[in-house]
Amino acid sequence: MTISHIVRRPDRRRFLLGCIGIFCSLGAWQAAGSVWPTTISRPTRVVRELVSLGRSGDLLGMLGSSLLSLLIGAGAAVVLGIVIGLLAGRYRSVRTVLMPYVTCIYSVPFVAFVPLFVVWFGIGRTFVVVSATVAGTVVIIIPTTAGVVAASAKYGELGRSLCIPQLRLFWSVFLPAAVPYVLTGVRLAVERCLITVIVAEFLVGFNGLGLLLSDARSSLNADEVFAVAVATAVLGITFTSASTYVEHRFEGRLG
Amino acid sequence: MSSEPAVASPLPTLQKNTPSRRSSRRLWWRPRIGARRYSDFLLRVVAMCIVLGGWQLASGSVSRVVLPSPLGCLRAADNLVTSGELSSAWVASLGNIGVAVGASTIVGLVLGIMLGRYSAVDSLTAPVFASVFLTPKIALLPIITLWLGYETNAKILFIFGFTLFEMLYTIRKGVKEVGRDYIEFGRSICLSEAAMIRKVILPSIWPYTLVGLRLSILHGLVGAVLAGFFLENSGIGGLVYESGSTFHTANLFVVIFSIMVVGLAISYGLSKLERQLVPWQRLGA
Repeated sequence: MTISHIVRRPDRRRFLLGCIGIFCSLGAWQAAGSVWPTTISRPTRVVRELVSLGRSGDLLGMLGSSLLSLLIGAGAAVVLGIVIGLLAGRYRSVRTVLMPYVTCIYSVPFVAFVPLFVVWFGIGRTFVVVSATVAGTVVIIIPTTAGVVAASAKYGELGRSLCIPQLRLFWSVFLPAAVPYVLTGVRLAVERCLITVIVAEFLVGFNGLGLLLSDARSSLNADEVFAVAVATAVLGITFTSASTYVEHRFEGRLG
Repeated sequence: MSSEPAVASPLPTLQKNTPSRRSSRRLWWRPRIGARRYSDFLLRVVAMCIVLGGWQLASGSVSRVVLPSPLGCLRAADNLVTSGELSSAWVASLGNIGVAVGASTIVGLVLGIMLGRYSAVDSLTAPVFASVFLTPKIALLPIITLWLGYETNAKILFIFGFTLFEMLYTIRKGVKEVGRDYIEFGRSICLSEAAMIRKVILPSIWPYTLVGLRLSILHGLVGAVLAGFFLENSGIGGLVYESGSTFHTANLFVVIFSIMVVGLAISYGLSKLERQLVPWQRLGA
């Protein structure tokens, strides 16, 4: 299932009904919150809590820290994933050797590896970034390889008969041909990296959204719990929608 | 299962140049007749030997905590299996996943049919559901702790958060893709709404339910691991967490490997089952 089934091009009626739906659920939350304020908080208090978290600098600092880890990790994952994917797609032997391992790592809930990375990389930013990088790389390798395999079936022979140097072939034929596949990979990778970053921070208490979640869990203050959840939700929705948008944009152009 | 014709074709068949779907999906460790497949297999065996050999060599020069040797891992595996620790952790986790998946199948069917069938309900709730779906589920953890604490119920609810949406969205997609002809026909013979759902929609979304089941079990596994980390440290996630935090790296390797095996088994087993039960439909996802 892809996100495109869920976030689709808005039409007017859908949009209006959607807005009504959001307002009704916020209203219901507010009403229920005034009955059980300590269990489910309420939107107005969540906003107040978010503002006060923002004022104290906690929220922005933590968000910034998470974003930094996410960007470094996802960036490294994209580069590594594309390089490995190009090699695996182009050379059959590389593919034969590598793919079983990639499939194995891909099919495990990646979060299971995070404690292993704690043992290897400590509890600093290195650990958070490395976890995100590995999580993302695996997801990018698979579609990129598929893309390059398709492209080299199409253009490989042509390139060889025109005597195009290998490096040039990678750069100006296979890489552009694989872009739509890579972008699918990138979308999946961004989601995975984000989750991994938050889980990693949560696990070791490194500065970031994970730490906020961890604090909220131990404080058991409904307002704080819901405020942090809303902040995480906003971050998650922003990143997933942005990467879905980029993917669709390019899909349309490169077809 | 076998796609080969029973009667031998009079023409010589070109084994190598007929790309069959099945051969590409074959498990990687099974050697195939045919030079290329056989050399692939050899290559993989050699590569695996190099990996294992390198691992053994590397583990000699660093601490056991950083990298346990392959033999050390085998010993740890033996310990974990004979003490029953591994199996009891899996039983607990799979039980939780089972309850969560069962609940999300029921809720997913009811909600999915509603959303797929009535577009007004769908438009009304789409943004709300989508925003919960796109939220990293880990954000629900403090909320669940607040409501239910750290025990089994909290774990099941947390896993349910992972499983529900996979089921719901797959079924919703299935309901939307029920053939127009069937719906029109049902309407023209004046089927009541209940009969329409029971006789037209439910049979057509059956393949999607299977896909939803596979996806939600796989996501439930992620939930179960995270639940073991951040809620009560029991089950398979708890075993990972404890092996990691006490620096029993060999145990950690073994437990992660067992998760890998279970994950692969579920995804291969269920997609095989899908092909057996609904061979006419090739579903992605």
